[in-house]
Amino acid sequence: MNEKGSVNAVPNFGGPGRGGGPGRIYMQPKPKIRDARGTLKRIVGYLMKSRVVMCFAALCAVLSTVITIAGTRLNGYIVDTFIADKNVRMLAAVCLCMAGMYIISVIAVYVQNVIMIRVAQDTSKTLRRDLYNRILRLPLKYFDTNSSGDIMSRLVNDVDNINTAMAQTVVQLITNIVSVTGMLIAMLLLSPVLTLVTLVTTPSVFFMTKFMAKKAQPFFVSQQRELGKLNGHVEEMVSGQKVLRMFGREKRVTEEFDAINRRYASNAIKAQCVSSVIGPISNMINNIGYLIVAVLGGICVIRGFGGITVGVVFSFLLYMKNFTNPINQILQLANTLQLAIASAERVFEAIDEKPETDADGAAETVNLGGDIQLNNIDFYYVEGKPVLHNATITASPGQTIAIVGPTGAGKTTIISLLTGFYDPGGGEILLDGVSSAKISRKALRRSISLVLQDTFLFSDTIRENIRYGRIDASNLDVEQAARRAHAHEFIMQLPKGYDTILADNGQNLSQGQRQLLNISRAVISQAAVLILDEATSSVDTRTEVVIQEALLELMRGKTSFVIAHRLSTIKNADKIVVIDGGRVIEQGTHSELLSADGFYAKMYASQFGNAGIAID
Amino acid sequence: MIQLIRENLKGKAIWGAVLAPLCMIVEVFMDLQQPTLMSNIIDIGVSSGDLNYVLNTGLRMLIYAVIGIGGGAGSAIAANFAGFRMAERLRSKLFAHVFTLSAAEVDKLETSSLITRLTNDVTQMQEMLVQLLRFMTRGPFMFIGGIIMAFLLSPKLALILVAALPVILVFVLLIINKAIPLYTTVQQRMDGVNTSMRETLLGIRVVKSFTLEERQSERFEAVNTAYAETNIKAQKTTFLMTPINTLVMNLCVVAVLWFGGNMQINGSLRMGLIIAFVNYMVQITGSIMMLVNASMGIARARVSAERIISVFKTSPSVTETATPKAPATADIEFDDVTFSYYGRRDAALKGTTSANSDSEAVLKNITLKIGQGKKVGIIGATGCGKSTLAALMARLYDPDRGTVRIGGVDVREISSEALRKKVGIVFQESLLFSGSIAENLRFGAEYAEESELSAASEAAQAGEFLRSLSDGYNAEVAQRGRNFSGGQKQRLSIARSLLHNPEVLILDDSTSAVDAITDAKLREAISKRRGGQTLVIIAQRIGSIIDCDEIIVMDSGKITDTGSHKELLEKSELYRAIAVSQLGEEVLTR
Repeated sequence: MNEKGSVNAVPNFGGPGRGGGPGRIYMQPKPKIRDARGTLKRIVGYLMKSRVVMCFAALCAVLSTVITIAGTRLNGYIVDTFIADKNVRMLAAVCLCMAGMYIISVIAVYVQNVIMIRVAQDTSKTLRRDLYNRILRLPLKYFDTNSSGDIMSRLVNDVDNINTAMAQTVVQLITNIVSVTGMLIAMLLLSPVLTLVTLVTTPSVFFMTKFMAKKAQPFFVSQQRELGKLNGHVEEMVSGQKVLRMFGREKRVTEEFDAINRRYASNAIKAQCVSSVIGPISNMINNIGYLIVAVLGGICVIRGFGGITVGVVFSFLLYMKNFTNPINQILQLANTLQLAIASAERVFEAIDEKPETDADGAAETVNLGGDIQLNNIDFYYVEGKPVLHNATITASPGQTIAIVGPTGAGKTTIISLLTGFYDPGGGEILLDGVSSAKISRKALRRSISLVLQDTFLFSDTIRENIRYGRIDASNLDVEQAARRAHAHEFIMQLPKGYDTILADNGQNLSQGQRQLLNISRAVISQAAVLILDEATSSVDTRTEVVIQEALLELMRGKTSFVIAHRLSTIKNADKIVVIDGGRVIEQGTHSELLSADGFYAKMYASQFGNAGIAID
Repeated sequence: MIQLIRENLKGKAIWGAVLAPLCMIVEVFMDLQQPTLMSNIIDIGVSSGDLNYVLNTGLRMLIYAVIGIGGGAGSAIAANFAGFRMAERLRSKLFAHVFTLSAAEVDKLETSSLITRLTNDVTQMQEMLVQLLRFMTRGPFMFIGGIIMAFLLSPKLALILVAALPVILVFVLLIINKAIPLYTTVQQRMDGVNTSMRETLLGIRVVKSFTLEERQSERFEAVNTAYAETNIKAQKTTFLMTPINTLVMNLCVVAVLWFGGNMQINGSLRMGLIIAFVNYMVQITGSIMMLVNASMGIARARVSAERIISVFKTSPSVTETATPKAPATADIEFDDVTFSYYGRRDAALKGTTSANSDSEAVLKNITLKIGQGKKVGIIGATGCGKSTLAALMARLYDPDRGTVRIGGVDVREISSEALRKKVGIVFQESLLFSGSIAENLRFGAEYAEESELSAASEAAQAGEFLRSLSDGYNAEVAQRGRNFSGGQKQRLSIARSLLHNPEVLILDDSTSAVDAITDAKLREAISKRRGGQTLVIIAQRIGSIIDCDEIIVMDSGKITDTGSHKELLEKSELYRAIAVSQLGEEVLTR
């Protein structure tokens, strides 16, 4: 009756809800596993570090199990020998001995648990660290193709599954195997006939349960499916509430929901009914086995068959309980283990992703002057769908290049290529005449500062956030950078100044202030090349002016690539590069391009033309 | 919490809730009989060599077991029936309630939190009810029944139990008391790990471009270790429970053997009784653990119940009038309107005057008229109140002070159905729903014909990419429109609203992901087909609103100026600043 909370039940504070009927473990859909053996080997590899303590834990497990077996036999022995013989002295001695054994056993159990908790947690920690460190070094492509929710789930849920399996499985497996063999030997020694009866009933319980679980599987699959639909509907409708309201669809959506909800409840009740019946039935088969042994044992005692005494029957019944429980547990462990292996595969899959690499002999440091050439660059994310085609852009030191073009034309791709987030599919990027492939990514990125449209701040102090631009910068450098970026004034107005801790991507600051901090970070990095993705949305006009000044200060003396939306930036650029459909279609200064009367002129007219500005 | 369950336990589910404990009592009763019967077999049947007695009692045990199983299964079925039906009702009511709430309340409760409440929290309640009906019945009955049976067997030996049980109880309580705060810390540390990871995922471009990999690695190491260490500490504490329980149990067995053995030797106790006694002790300690687990479950569910109740307690601030009036025209009028998102409610709670909340007001004393059929632009910085102005026109919120009128009628006196026909907004964050494209487009016009669909899509500049889809209008839309790009979703949303065809159409920055050329074409097409429709365009780009009949310039919740582009260039300093910043100095010289 293990699922009714036996003495050995592990308390599950804070863990996932226990609920659900018995037999639930049999019903989970099977997780997909590709290479169970290989994955298991790798998990074992992680555990190898703790092999000494784990051996000790296993020893403790064996000790406590043996004590349980011996203790159980002693129970029967006492009943048979001393009580029947009325030997009070020996009874006292054996009772004391048993008390001592139990105390040792409990200590062994606890030590073994504590060891395994630590091993499991340490291993999870290592897994998380390996995963995180690998993620940090993966190429950007990984982040563009995998959702952050998926990566988070690997770090949280999957590692958790592995942890649970390690904490439980290893020890339980050892304990249970020792129990089963020990009990079996003890039972055989006691009475081969009764053992035979036990051996017939135990597997039949298992096969009956398995059979019923198979029959019940479709019910659980449909419950799971309906639950998925229900949750999906809730998520979609609640997050789209405003839109639904605009079209007056509240009533309709509520009705739809009620129907899905009713379907789910009916399906779930059916599935639960099935499992409610399966659990007790397998218990009953268990109990019947128990009963047969009791009755048969009784008969044997009466008939004086095979030297079976009351004490033997007593011990035997206790052994039986300790024999069938571990077998059931081992079967359940198989499920936990499967889940863990599937999770481990997902974790390892991420750990095995290829990190960003540099070409052999790539320069670890560079000192860029700022002469940059993109020569005949081709690029595609998906083969056959070029994003950039034969693009050539050149910039001399100190020049500002404005990149313009419609959404999806390939502007952001140029940023990704310049920063080494992606490698060009064809052509090459020359920095001071050196191919970017010959410069390590780190060196390349250190000599480029990037200011993106979406500001990003870490949950740390303002000072540290600016210092992220150049980690060895002094506090004085930080302040100077903030001054140059016009951020110093507002920082000093905050109650804690530079030590203000930013929460949640700096939500406690205004958008303009966040941008100024981002600019400060770029200022402190002292890179020779600046890449700027100009904000499309405007902040309030006063901050706007400050930001423009800060940006001009930042761009001074640097080779700058700007994805420009603002006419003033475009016009002041030394060169405008017009991109459409992945091709550089026009290049030149503002007036040159207008007089060419091509794409740029058309775009300019549609965006700014009806302002009544003379186009000349 | 109990009230919440009672309110939602209706109809047949009540029977389930009554039947479940009753069946459980049957099962417990049967389980309690077994050890005694077993001892009878040994003491009476075996010792006297009465084979018939052994067989008879064995049969009785079997029958009892079957009845017990019937009770157990019945209880599980009844409890699950009650649980799922209660949860169904609760979920339906909660969902319906969420849809009566106005935008103000939804903002306050937060969408993601509402989703969790509708899914996880309701499930918690359902599982809790099942546990309550089953284990909270089984636990106490087993506990008391076991003690009674033990006393019936031998009052003297039962005294061992009386001594041992308080020891177990004290330990259990001590451990729980220590463990709960530890698990709260574990939760916090886990949040730390999650935050660190999420931050890296969100800011990966920044991390890489400033080569911060090592630094992030170090930071993660710190939170990761802290999490593992607290987790170990918490688990060590809870894992004490099992060994202590087992130890006390086993010592009891030894004590029973010792005392029982002595009594047996003195001839006052039968041997089978000792065996039965040990079995009762196993049942009793089992019931204690069951109670502990069940009460932990109930404690978790209480948090969920509170979160659900707080939604029910939230009443919509925008309510429908009983006597709606029908406005004749679609003229929009704002009369001295002040609005803040939480202002009014909080001010009312604090009992302060609304003057205090004025500093946080998103709209301050707005007075405004938009005549039917006009094309109006609204421009201003992020957070200046543009979108709020639109939301008030569609009565997504009610103003704190002042009146919004449509066709001379206070919006609060117009039925929501009529209002939806008058005012429609296309939001910047465009959302599609799972289904086909045609279903999505027909959202506001159920019987629109194919030709109307294509006309609207063409106007919204969505025709071209729709034609490139193999299934065209029957193409499948994934949940929330995930399978379409931002620009495509925005254009489909506009097409959807064009079909709905409200008298006032508001485009709230709804082409932000569409490139300038397409945007221009789109605006031109809409202007052409709108006829007498009022068009309100809210924009960041001055180019989007430059040709409007009237442009409203907003700054920090106030209207600073209104007029045409030319007029504003002359009279509005703010507008001039925006124009110069976006278009360059030439705007002034033209």
